[in-house]
Amino acid sequence: MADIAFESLSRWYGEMPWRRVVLDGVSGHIRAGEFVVVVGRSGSGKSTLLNLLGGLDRPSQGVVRIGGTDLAGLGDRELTALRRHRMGFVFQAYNLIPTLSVADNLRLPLSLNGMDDDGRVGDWLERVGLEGRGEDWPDRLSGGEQQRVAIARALIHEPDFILADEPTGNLDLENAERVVSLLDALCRAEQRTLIMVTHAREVVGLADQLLTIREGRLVEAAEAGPAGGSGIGAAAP
Amino acid sequence: MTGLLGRIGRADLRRHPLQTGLAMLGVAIAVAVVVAVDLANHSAREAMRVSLESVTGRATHQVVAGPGGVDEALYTRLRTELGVRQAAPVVQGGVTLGDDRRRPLTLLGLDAFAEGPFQRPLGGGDALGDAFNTLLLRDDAVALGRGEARRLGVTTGDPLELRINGRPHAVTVVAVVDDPDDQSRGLLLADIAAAQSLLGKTGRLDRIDLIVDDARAEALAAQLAGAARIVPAAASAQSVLQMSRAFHVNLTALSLLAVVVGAFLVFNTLGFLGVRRRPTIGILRAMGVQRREILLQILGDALLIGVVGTLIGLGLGFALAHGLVGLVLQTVNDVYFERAAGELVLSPWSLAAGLLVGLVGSVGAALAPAREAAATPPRAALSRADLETRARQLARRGGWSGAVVVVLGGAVIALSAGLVPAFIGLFALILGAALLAPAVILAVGGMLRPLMRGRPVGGLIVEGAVASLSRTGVAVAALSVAVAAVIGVAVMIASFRASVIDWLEGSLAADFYISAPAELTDAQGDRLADLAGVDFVSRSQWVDLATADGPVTVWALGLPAGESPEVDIRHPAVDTALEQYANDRAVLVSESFAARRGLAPGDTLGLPVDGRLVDFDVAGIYRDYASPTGAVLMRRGLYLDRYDDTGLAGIGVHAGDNVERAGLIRRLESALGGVPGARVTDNAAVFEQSLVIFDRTFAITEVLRWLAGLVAFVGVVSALMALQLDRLREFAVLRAIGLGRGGLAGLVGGQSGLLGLIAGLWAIPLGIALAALLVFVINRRAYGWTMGFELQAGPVLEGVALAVIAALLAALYPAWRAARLRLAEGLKGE
Repeated sequence: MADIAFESLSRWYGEMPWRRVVLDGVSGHIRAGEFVVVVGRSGSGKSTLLNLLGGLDRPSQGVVRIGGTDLAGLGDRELTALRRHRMGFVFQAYNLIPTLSVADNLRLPLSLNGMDDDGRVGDWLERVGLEGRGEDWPDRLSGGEQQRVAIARALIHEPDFILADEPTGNLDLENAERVVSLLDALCRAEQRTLIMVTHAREVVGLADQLLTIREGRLVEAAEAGPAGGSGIGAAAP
Repeated sequence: MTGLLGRIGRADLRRHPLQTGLAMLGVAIAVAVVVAVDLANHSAREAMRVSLESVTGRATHQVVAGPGGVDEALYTRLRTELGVRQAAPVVQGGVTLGDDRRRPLTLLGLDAFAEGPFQRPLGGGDALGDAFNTLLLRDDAVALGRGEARRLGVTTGDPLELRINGRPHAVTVVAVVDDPDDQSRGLLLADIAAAQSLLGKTGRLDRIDLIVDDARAEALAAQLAGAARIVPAAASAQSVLQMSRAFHVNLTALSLLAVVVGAFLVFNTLGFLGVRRRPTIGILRAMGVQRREILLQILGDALLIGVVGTLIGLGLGFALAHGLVGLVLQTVNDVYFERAAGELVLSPWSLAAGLLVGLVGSVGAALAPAREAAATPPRAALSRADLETRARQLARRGGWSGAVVVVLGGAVIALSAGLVPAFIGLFALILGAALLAPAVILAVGGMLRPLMRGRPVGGLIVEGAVASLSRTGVAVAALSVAVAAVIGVAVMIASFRASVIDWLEGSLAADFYISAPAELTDAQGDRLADLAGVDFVSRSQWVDLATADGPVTVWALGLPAGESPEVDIRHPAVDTALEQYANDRAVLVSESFAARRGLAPGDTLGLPVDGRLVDFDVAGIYRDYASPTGAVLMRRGLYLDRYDDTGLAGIGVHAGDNVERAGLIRRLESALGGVPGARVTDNAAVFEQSLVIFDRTFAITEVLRWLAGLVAFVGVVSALMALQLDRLREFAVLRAIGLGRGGLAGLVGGQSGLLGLIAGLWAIPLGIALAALLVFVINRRAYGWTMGFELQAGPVLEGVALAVIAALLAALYPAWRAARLRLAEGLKGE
């Protein structure tokens, strides 16, 4: 388990005078095992921050350190290995592999990490409430079910960090609540760091730390907590 | 709305420049192959027709006789006693340039006073102008067309060295005649008397051309005496053109094969267009856009691709035709007609064929996928699972349809005898196999899937290939058809070559062959037979007998008593055939001759003897690949009995056992010392030269085989690249969860390679079936040739390797793109 620290993170596209700054000098610290929620309007830069923290993108300026390791010093091979071993991703559009069955989607991270199934796939399907659906194709599942498969896929190889980008963006209220609760419960149960980008301020009540981004700048980094609310519908947007 | 819809379509084409470009290239290559082969075919036919007409002119009938030609006194009798005003004497013979070029030319001797009505390009006094008198007065004067003069590098007044019957002759060019269509290519014109003198035919004519109606011709025939007969003038030309028809049909069919492959690829590319636009179409439909408008949008884009591809293809086709026409004419010269030299002749029909294939083919190929896409329900998109489920259902239905089409094709071949039904059957086999291809993918997927259970990366390779049937089915079908063509034609050529080698080994019975520009004599044969080390000699004469059905080549073979001709008799039993052949009026006929004339053992064949048709019994049919026109083999004794011709075209020398060959050659050369231009050729040299001609004859087939492969190559690269580029988001997810660049490249390459392998493996049985059809049906029906079936591993492995390499190359760019994908952007969408 490790902390994530980021300092003066910036990301821009293009060169002057047409440079478009998406993230502008953001710094922060995420402790191991924390549930961090990143909120902000569309286009504020929150997904960009998540991509930089998860090694999916490289900053134009600034540093990301995971357990003291500067990601800028890692080549593609090391960065890929880092994502493979220590991270799990959940996306808004689920991004399951359509040509693999549900069970094989779960086996994929195990296979990449050289881990045996050992009943993990069945176990995780049960934990996300999809027992008996392993041989189904992703297209046959509802949105909520697909997102639960995506959560299981993100956690099955026991990564240190879960990065979720708008995981409830395509779901109805009921499913959204279920997905967030599931993510929160599973991460807390296994002491995994969860960083979730969302529009829904309702999730804030579950988070340990809240990062608010506006126009590429971090305008608020606040301790939050379960006391702040319970459930998706509890807080006003 | 329609304009906006059009812009959406064109924007989609612009956003995928590589796929659009490859689709255009696929259309362009298919159009280029059709245009090039059609132009080359047309040019070769034109060259033959023009050359044939240049010596026939407007003659309606010809007076001909046996091998020795017509007595010139008959011409006088025709003009005076029989009152035929429109008659012209003709002498013609082969000569070669005396210099190193050894270019073969035809010396045509005409009577300029009689030529007027015949309108031969070189013939009349008008064309010759002032040179007319010189041509009449000198026996070393020749005239020629402007095109031929340019090729020979001579002009009026220049001397020209010729070799005639092995002897040098100096002639002078006294006139260069305007010849805008180059009709007189390969011709030298001389006065009839001069030509008779130069060719050693004093007092003889090759024929007398007539312009008479059929009734008058019939009446004249009854009045002619001796060996002379009257035949239609067009018979000879038509016969040559008819015989070469099978060759041209074969070439056209091969080019159509490239078109079929091209059509599959266009279908695949444009079908992909519909699949790719499905989400957009769903949105447009939800907004109220009519199906018809969607359909027109996709067809409009297909037409755009077709127009650009066709324009490029026409240009490529012209360029390619320049190369192909030489190859086609080379084959025509080697096999059918030695004066068919010519250049590219443009034909509006070739252009029309190109336009038809490019434009109608593109729109036609897009029609089914466009209709399917336009039927997308008005919601965002059909689910991928629905799409693939439908593709699987279609694959199963297609499989059954394919099996039915194959059976129907087989029935067409079995129940018919012609060449065209054979090609219909062949294309039915191809279509059936293509329809079966998606079912084969499913079957292979079904076999591999259990092996990949628990191996998701391996599973991704298999499922990527199999589960995307809507996108991979047609690509694999197209690739397997093209590879099958590559395999099938290669196996056919290998089979043919092996049969020719087998035939040459059997028929080149003599150890040495003696030939000379002028005819040899029996006295010379006797002298050679008496040499030490010579067991016996065989004496051959080859003559073309003019008949109403075109010329018949007769091979008169003289052998000592007790020796039989070394030919491979196919029907009936060898002993039976040879026993009957020894009879007074029996002949053997070659397979192609028998096929052309519909002859079987026991039938009779009418040959002209002394001005009337005499029946000969067909004792048997022998294998002979020397020419597709075929020949009639006759005992020389019988030939001498029927025809007044003691000349010999060649003598075969059979050496005794354990004779030292170099010494025998010296003795043979010494014995032939006084014979101008006589050559002693070792049978190994004849063997080698025959194979050189064989390979040259099939050069055009080889080129077309590789062109079909090229079309497939471009197409499969296009189709699989489009397939992989469509998955970039999936690749981004895999990279995000930790699949390295190497792993991703392996995945992309594995998926493409597996598809290539499936196509290659499916092409093996199809290719072998195509080869069997070409060997046992098409060649048999086109030329009458039977041959063995030579299945070698080389061409088969070559075909499979072509499929796999094409598929792997198709994966290179997507793998490169996937490896360099910006994950954050890739995860967002396209």
